[in-house]
Amino acid sequence: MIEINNLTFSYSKNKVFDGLTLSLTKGNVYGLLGQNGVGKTTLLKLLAGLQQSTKDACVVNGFHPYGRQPEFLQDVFYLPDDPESPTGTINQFVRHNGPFYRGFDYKQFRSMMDRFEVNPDEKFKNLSAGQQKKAFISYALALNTKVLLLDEPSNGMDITSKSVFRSIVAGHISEEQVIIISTHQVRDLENLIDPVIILDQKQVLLHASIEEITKKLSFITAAKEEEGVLYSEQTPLGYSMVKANVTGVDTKVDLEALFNAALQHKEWFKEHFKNGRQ
Amino acid sequence: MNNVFAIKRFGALVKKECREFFGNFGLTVLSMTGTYVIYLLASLLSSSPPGILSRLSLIIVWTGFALVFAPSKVYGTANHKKMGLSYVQLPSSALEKTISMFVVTYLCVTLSMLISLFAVDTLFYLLFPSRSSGFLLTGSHSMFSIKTFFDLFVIQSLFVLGNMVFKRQKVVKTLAVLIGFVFLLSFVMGLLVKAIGIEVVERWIDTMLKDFPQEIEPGRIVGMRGLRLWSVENPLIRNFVFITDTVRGLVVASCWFGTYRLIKTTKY
Repeated sequence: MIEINNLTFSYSKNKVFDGLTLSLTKGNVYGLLGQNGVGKTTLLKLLAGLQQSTKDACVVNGFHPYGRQPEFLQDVFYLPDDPESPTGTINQFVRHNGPFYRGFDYKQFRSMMDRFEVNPDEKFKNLSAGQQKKAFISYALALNTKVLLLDEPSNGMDITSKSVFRSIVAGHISEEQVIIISTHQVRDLENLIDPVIILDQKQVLLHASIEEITKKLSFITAAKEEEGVLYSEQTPLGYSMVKANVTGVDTKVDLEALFNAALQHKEWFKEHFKNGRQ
Repeated sequence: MNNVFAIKRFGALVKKECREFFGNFGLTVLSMTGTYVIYLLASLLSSSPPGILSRLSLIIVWTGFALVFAPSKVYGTANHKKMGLSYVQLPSSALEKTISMFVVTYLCVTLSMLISLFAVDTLFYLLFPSRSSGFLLTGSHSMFSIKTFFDLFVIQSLFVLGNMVFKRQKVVKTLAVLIGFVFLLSFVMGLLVKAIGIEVVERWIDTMLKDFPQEIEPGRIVGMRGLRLWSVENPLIRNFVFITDTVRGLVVASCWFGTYRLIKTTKY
C-alpha cells in the first residue's frame, strides 16, 4: 500500500532522510515515533504529496504522491498537528468538502461528532482548540480514505476525548485502510498502535509489530533495578525496565520505555529487529 | 478516472467555490455597493446630477477594484502552509482548480458587482427620476464592449497569479511588482528612444500625425479606442494595436499557466 524505497529528502542543506526504506501494509494503525525534528511530520507530508519526493522513492496506492492526481487525493488525507480553522460552521466545511471523497459518510461524521460531544452547527472560531481538533478528526475519519495520516491527533484533547478517540479509531480501521499516527504522546495511544515505527538519524530505527516486540523484549516493573537491562527508569512503584526477552513470556509493551530503550541501544535494536524487511 | 479534467468534478468544484465565494466576498460586494449608494446620495445634494458616463465609469472602476481584491479574499489561503491544506488536498486536478479559480473570481465578482451596482442605480433612477441624468442601461452599450470585459479579465488574471505567488500582503506586493514593471519598461523605452535618436522618433511621430484623420477628435487618440478607429486606416498603428492585444493575451495566458504550475507544485 505504501512503499518508501531509499528516500532521500532535505530542506535546503538540512538532510532529513537519507536512504529511508519502509513498507506499510493495509489493515494496520501505525505509530510513528521519534524525537523532535527527526522528520515525522515531513514523512507524513511526503506521503500526502505536500512535499516533493523523487518519483520512485515514494509510492502510495500505486501513485507518486507529489503528482496530486485526483484519484490519489481521493484516498489519502493528512490531518496536521494544528489544523487552521476555516470560516463558517463545521457543517458547512464538511458538506462543501466531504462529497469530493468517494468514501465520505456524513452519518458517520455526525455520529463521531456526537461521541465527541461537539455541535457541528457551531462556527469553528467559536470552538476551543480541542473541540476544533475533534471536529477535524471526525471529518478525517468520515472521509474513509484508504490512507489516513494523523499528526499528533491527541494533542489538545481532554482525557475523556482521548479515550473516545482511541475507541473510534479502533472501531473504524478496516482491512482496506492504513492509518499512520505520528505522536509524542505514546501513552495516549497505547493499545491502539501496532506496528510501531521509530525514526532516528534520517533512518528507521525500529519497525516492528507489537507481537514481534513482545517476543524479543520484556517490559517489567520491579522494586530493585536489575542487571543487564536495556533501559531502566525509576518510577513511584520502583523501576520500569526493558530487557531482552529470554524467558519467552509475553509482557505488556510500554511504548515510552520502548522508545527510550531504542534510543539508548540503537545497535542492539538494529541487530535484533528486521525493521519491516522481509 | 480522468486525472486531468472531468467535467462532473469540475462542476462540483465550481459549485463549492461559488458557495464559499459569497461567504468570503459577499461583505466586500455589499460594502462596495454601499459606497456607490453614498455616491448617488451625495449627488442629490449637488446642483448637477452625475451623467451616465460618470456613473458607468465608476461602476467599471468599482468592478475593477473588486477584481483586484477578490483573488486574495476568496483564495488567499490556497498557498498558505497550514490553511491551504484543505485546498491542495481536495480531490480535484490542478487544471480544474486553476480554471475554477479564474471562473469564480472573474464571473462571480463581475456579475455580483455589476448586478448589485446596476440594481442600486436603477432603484435610484426610479426613486428620483428628476435628479437622475438618465436610465443607465440605455446608455451602457458603448462602454460595455468585449474589450472592457477583457481589460477587467487582464487585471483579474494578474492578481490571481499574484495571489498564488505571494504568501502575504498579496495585493500590495502584486501592485508593487506591476508598478516596478512599468518603471522598468519606461526605462527600457527611454534607452531605446535614446539609441534610435530623439529626432528620428519625433520625425516618425510627425509622419504619423500627418495621416491622422480629421473626423477623429485629437483628444480621443490618447485612448485605445481612438487608436483603433485610426488603425483601420493606418497599417503601422494597426500593427501596434495588434501587438498590444497579443501581448495582453500572452500576459493572460502566462498568468493562467503560472497559476496552474503553482497550484500543481506548491509545497506545504
